[in-house]
Amino acid sequence: MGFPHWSYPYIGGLLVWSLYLMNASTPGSRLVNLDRQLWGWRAWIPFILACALGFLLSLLRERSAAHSKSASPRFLFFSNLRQDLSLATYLMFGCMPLLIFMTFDEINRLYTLVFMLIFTVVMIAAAFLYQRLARAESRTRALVAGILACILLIEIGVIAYWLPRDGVYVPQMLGWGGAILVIMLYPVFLARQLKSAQWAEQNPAGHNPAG
Amino acid sequence: MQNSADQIATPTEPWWASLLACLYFLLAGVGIMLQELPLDRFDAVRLPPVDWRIIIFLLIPAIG
Repeated sequence: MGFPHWSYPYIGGLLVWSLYLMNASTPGSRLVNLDRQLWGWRAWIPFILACALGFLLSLLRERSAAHSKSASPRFLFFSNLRQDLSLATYLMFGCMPLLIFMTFDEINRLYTLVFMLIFTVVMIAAAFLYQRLARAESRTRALVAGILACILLIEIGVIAYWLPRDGVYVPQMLGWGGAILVIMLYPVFLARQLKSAQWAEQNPAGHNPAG
Repeated sequence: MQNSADQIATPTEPWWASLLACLYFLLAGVGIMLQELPLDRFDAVRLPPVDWRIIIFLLIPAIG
């Protein structure tokens, strides 16, 4: 038992959705009566409630298993990240739906719908493989492939739609995609570097398989 | 042969936990698709697209 790996994309997704909603208004909503007013701090209510509930549940679990020497789930969130840095990439992968939503804004509905179907299948496949594959290396590869496929599809979809309409500056779009890719894949790259350094320390005269 | 780092990271969660991770992406994908559908044309669906997005947004922390 510990902090569940499957919940990492939820946390990443919720963080960016809350940030996005902070600066958004929802005119025409029948559920939330804010009209054109920005959501502001109210956007963090779901995140705060989810954290509070998680905190309470972990406290209850600690009380019921006071004799147990295992660490509390809320601390295991960070120790999981320290142990497997690819989880940070997995957490950021949770932001992908918002990224797609923002880049396909103002694009024809049917065109977006077709791309969204492909995106959903790619994201689900990447998440499932990351959760289920037995070797850490294979899992990381599946996640990286999923992220690369999503960014590539975003670039193709947006550029192919806007280019004939003079609505996109291609170098800026490519640069933006590259920057997102670097940010998302940096933990995986860092993990690889750390693994290489650790291996070199243990085997000073040997051949490094990771490099 | 697997090294120690591979062994540490071997998944120990049950298979249904993996489906919960998939559910997040399914929910987010469907949420975006819902707002692309002309739902306002159907009498049975009274909520405007923006409300569907809010419902999906509230469902995410509820599951996570």
